[in-house]
Amino acid sequence: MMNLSLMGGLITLAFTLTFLGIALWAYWPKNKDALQAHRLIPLQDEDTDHV
Amino acid sequence: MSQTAIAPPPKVAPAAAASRPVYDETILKYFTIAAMFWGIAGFAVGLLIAVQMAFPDFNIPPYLTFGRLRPLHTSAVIFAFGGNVLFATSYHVVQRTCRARLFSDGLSWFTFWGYQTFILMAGLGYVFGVTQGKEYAEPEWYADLWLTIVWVAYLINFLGTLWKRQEKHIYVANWFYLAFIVTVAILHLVNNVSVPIQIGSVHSYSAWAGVQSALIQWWYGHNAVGFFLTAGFLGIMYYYIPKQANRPVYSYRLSIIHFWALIFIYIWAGPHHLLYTALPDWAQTLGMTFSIILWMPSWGGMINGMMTLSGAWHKLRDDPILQFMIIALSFYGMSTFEGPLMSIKAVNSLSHYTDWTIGHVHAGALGWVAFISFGAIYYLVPHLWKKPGMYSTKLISLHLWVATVGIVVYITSMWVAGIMQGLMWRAYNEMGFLTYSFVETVAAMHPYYIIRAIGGLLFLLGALIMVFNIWKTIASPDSVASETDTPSLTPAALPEHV
Repeated sequence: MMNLSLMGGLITLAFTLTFLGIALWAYWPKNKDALQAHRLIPLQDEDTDHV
Repeated sequence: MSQTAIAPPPKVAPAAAASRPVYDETILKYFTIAAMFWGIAGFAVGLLIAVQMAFPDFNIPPYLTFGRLRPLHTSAVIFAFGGNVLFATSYHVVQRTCRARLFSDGLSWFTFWGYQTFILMAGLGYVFGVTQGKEYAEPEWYADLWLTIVWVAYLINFLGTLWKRQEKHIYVANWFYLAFIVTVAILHLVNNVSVPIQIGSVHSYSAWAGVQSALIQWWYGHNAVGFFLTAGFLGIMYYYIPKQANRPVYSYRLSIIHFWALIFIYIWAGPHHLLYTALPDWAQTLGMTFSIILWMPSWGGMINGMMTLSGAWHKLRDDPILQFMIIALSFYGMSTFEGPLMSIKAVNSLSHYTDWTIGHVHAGALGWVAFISFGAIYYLVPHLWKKPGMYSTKLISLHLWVATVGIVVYITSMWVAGIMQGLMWRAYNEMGFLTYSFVETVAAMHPYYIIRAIGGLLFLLGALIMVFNIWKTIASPDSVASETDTPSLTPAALPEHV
């Protein structure tokens, strides 16, 4: 059985790498336009009456 | 409906374009009114206990003493006011940004009445002395079980709406709401594991004991701040600031970093509530370190919200609703700077257990949570009741300034009182004796407690102005010119609920 501190270290490493991966993906120049386009979602809303 | 001929928004997938969603707005009205009702109740109880601190004669035993009313205040403002705001805005944002009606009308109404029932169960318990004694987790086992059922219904309703969305991408505000719903569920379940002391008893024993109990409690408590009072209200920021300013959020890429940084970091900061206690030193240092790291995503998010107005700052000049939102972000920035500062052990050795902490909490709670909520509600009320705008813009402005002055009076009096209190506690003479007896420190606080109560009174007055303004807005006869059918206030008469 794996000891707890090794497991804790590995989980921390995995979390760190996951976060860095997300940050890289978000700021990768090629992804810029596609991601920034999502900014418009709230504003592309038709303003009609609903119940 | 007569508007089916209107072109669907450009992002709607072609297959779904034929069916325009009919949003459920009646449920939003109910949650909005409930939020204002509980808000006034919670602020009023807050004022009462502030007066009790200054003048103990206002304690009326056994039911209306500070010990019973304090959790009534905190639960009323956080869970009743804040919770209803989060239900109203999350149900609004998820429908609008997903272009889909809420998943189930039945679940929507169940969450509304179920949640109000939970508030009554919890609040009545406190007044009658039924409490677990865990800060922000005072409701006893029966109320906890009921809330679990309501919360699962909320989660299903929210996820179901995301599932049937017509918009391809899930807008970032929904990520924050979902993180809030999921994390609060986990926190609630773990911190409240308990068994009734006997069959039929309202009281219970916690499964946790000693330092483990303390750590779990503050893992819960701090993440209630992080995911109830921060993530959920950031969801409000990411939708309502762009809507009110009619500009897209500054950077979507920054919002992605903001979200994931909060998720990965917040969960570790709880131990800063237990500095200089029996908690192992490494855990205290861990809590302090993560609290300091947390400063970065907090300010990243604040900058993202504020820079939404970049190039259009003039909008801020005339729009008190936008002013509410931007002042909220300023208080968010201030309290998320103060928080990491107070988590540093050297600072905490002075601030811990003093009223500085109370001041800090209220900078966040009144300045950030309540102000961003007020901004969202001022946006929502004319939107939901189909009015051209609020009854009076001047009254919004008056509310803004009365409340802002109230907050500043509140937090500055608590800074002075808290730092003075901390310094008096630790002062000792050349012989090593304490300079002040405890009661001397209490007496020294008296003027600041009165000033704090005045700050609280101003904040309550502001909220009453808001209630009046909302009342007049809803009661005003003129509806939006583009309206074709009259919105009804009675849910039972609407075909969508059949």
